[in-house]
Amino acid sequence: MKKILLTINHAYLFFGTSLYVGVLWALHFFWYPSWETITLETVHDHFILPTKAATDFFTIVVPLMLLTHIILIWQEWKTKFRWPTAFALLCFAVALYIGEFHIFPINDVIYAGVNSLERLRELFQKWMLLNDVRLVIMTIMWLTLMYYFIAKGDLMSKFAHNQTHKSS
Amino acid sequence: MKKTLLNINKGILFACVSMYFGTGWSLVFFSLPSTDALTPENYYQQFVPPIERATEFFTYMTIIMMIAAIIIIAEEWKSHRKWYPIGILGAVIGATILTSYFIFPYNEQLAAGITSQVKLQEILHAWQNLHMVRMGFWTGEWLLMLLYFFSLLSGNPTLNSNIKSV
Repeated sequence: MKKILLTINHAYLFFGTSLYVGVLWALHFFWYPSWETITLETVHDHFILPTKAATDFFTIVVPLMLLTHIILIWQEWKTKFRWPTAFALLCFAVALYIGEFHIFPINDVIYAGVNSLERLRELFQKWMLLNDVRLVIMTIMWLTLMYYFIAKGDLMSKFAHNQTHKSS
Repeated sequence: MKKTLLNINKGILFACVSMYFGTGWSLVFFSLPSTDALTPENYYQQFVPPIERATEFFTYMTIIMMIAAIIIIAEEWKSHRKWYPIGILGAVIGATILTSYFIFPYNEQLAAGITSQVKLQEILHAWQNLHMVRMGFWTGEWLLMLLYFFSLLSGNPTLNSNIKSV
């Protein structure tokens, strides 16, 4: 039962991380180029509506990701995997910090309404740059978790191999 | 060395299915809800260029995914785990057929220009419905990849049978 719960826990964490990274990459490749031509008239439909929806969605997803990540570290605390899992959490914390203290304030300014197109473009450039930093950090987190799953698989193989030798 | 390359291959396939997974759901959660606000005057900039960029990007990525899945199938051929990459390859092919034959015609109509609001909403709703079907394939790919990794992690039948057999 404990094993099933831990599997669900890890699956959720990787689900959240994949979704987060996928959204950030999709933004970078597919939406940013359109946002460079955004105007004061189109900012509400093109930016404010999707950004608010994304914020609402991740407000639910992120706390659960933090909880599942802490459980993962707790599970691995006495093994060599505590370092990669803790490093992944550090990446996540930095990404959340950038979001909370640097990106959200820009959102608030745009939500409140910007009068000049020049100012709007300036805010967008800053927003996209910060989000690209978050994209790199979240990709590192995703890769670290991927390394953990692959290395853990290898460890299990070695464990089974040792068991085979001991039994024979 | 061979094992490292095979592991990197698995990582690449997982990265690709995650990219589809994240892009697909980000459309469902963040972009599609605002399609009702689209008009013939404003839909083009919001909808067409991002879709064109995504199509170009995913065309190359799909080829990489198919190659990576085939490599895993070959690697796991003698194990029950071969069914995971076979399922993923099937879902990739299914999503590609759906996109090429059913979604692309709508993309082409949207790119050509729509002047009627009724026609625009009709096309966008059909596009959304087809995208939801495609999300079934993309989510299935991601879940199968996750299950494959967990099967490697617990190594149940293969590893356990090794232990039991001695």
